[in-house]
Amino acid sequence: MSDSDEMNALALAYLHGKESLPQNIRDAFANMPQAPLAKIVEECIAVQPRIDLVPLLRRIAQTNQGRVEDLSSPEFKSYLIAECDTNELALQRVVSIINNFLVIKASRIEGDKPILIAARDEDNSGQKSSSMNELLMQVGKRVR
Amino acid sequence: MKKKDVYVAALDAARNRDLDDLQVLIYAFFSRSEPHIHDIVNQTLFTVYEKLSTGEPSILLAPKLRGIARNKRLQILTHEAANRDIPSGSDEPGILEVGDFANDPAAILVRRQRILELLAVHNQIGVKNPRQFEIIAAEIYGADAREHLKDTFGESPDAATIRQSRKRAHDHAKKIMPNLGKGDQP
Repeated sequence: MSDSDEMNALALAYLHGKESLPQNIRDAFANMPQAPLAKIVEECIAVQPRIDLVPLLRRIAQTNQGRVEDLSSPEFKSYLIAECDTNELALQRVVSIINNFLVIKASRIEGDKPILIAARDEDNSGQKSSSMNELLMQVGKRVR
Repeated sequence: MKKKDVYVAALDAARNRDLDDLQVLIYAFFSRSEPHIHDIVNQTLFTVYEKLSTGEPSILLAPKLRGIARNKRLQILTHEAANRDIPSGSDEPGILEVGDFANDPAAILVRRQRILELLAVHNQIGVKNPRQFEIIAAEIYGADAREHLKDTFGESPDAATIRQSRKRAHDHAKKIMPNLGKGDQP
C-alpha cells in the first residue's frame, strides 16, 4: 500500500472516528477550565487596571494556558512572545508584575486599604501611607 | 511549518474546542492495521484534556503527544491480555506502528482536507447515483470495486461495466470539483 493510499485509509478512519468520538470527551473539552496563569493575570489586571501593560496582560490571559512556574520556561516565554506579538523586555516586566502581585497576595495585604510606609524626609513631611495598588503601579513604572 | 508547530497549533485549537486537527494527528501516529486505533485516540484525547486543563502549555505538551499515545496503546494491550488470560510477557510492548507520512503532520492535515473535499463531492454523486458513489468509495478504501458492489447492492457487474461506471463517476466528479482529477497530491 502506498503512502497515499495509507493516508486515504487513515483519513477515512479519522472521519469514522470523528463520528464515534464519545460525548464525554467533547463535553470535557467544551468545559475546559481557565488556565491558572490566565486566572492570576486577570486578577492582576483587576487590581492594577491603569498600568501600561494591561493590553499585553490581556493577550497573555487570552492564550488561556500556562501556570506561574511555566513563566520560567524559555520555550513558553518564546511562545508567549510570538503569540502575543511582544518582546522579551516587555514580557520580563510582565513576569515581575505577576511575581510582585503574587507576593502581595500571599501577604494578604488588601490592595485598596492604606498601609504605612516609611517617611522619607527629615522633617517627617513625606507621604506616610499609600495603598498597595498605588505602590504596585509605582513599581510597574520602575521595572523598565 | 515545523512538526512541533503543527502539534502546538492543533493543541491550541483543541483548547478552543476544535478537536479535528489533533484527532487526525493522533491517528497519523499509527498504522491503519492497528486494531485499537479508535480506543487509543479517544483515551489519548482524554489524557491530553487532563493535561491541558491543568494549564500545561501547548508548547510543552506537544513533544509528549507521541509518548502519551504509545502509553495508551500499551495500557489497552495489557488490559486486553489480562482479560484473555494471556501472559503479559507474550506481547511486544513498546512497538508502535507508525506510518512513514506521520513524520510530516502538516502533510496529513492537508491530505485530510483533500479527503473531506473528495467526500463532499462523493456525497453529491451518491445522491444521484449510488453505484458511482460506491465505486469511488471502494477506490478510496482500497477495496475491490466488484466485491464492494456485491456486498452493497448484491450485484457483480463485469470489469468493463465497472470501468465505464468509474469513468462516468470521475467525469461527474470533475464537473462538481475541477481539482478532483489532479491526482493524489493536494
